[in-house]
Amino acid sequence: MRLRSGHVVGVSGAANRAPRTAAEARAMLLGGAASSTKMADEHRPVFRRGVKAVFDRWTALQLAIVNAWGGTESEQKARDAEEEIAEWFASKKSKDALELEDMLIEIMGDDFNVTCEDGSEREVANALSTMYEQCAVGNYEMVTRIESLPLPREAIERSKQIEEDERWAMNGGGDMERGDSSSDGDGDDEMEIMGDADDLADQLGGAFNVREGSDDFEATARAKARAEPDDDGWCTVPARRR
Amino acid sequence: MPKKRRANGRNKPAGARGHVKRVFCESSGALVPKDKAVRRFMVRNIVESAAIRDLQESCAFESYTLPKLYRKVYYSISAAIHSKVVRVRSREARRIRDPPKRFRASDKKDKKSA
Repeated sequence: MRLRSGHVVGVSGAANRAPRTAAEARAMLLGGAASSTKMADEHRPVFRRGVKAVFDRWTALQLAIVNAWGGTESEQKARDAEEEIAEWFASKKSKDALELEDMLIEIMGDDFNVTCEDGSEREVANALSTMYEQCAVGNYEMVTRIESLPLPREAIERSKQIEEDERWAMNGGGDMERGDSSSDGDGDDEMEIMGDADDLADQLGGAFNVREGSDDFEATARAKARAEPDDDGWCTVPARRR
Repeated sequence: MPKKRRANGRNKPAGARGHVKRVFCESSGALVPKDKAVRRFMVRNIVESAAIRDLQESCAFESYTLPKLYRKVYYSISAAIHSKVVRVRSREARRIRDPPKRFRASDKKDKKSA
């Protein structure tokens, strides 16, 4: 602001710009993630590769595919979603990360019955818009960086499937016991990483000991018997409830 | 007699099986047939969003990614409607069995047919 005395007070320049429209405000909030850059045809395949790379590393989506949360055609659905996103970037004039986020939420909810409450859609949307921006000017750095990251396969393998609550199993007399345990091949057993604080502590302990896979129970049992620190000075805390 | 819904609101093909295992509803605790219950997968951070930064700052590891919770929940129909997971549809709309169309998907179809 300029005073009558000629002094300028407050912030000047770009930071001083107040948003005039809702879209502008959104763009400012998202750190300029909304843009209207047009991509040349030669960059398109690389961008598609990037979209695939991002989707391949989105654990929630990969879990949905692996466990067929969206039915038997989950894999096809994921491919369609990929195509849909790429086309959205190709056809839309203004690429608004918020709009993309809404679309991802819709895709995850409608196609895979997944509700992400960890904000991963926003992360993916922001990553995709930034990647589009960079690809449009011929900068493939982000694509190669994302492609070099490890796939979340290990995380999926490490995620343990915990049987339904014992309380339920105990209830299982009569009706529930009557033999259709494989009622619908939905691949939808309860998957839960923790139940209570103790389990959380166990889980965190397990997470630090990446080498100790979830499959070698015996090793953990032996570790429990020993309960002495390994070379790095860490002891493995075995899970209590099995 | 006319049917309100073709498969009676379930995913059990006629003649396929007699009984389907029941599951407990997450919010009301009612016992619902597994093929009827509304299924949702919750993906959540173990740590609430407000505490993530504090935790990252005080973490001894350079790039430690916090584990997440992946949980499948079942709702009974009444609980799902009450908690606004699903909505009631009009008499005519009830008959539509296709998955909901997204605006992009419909655009694509229009282009192809044109």
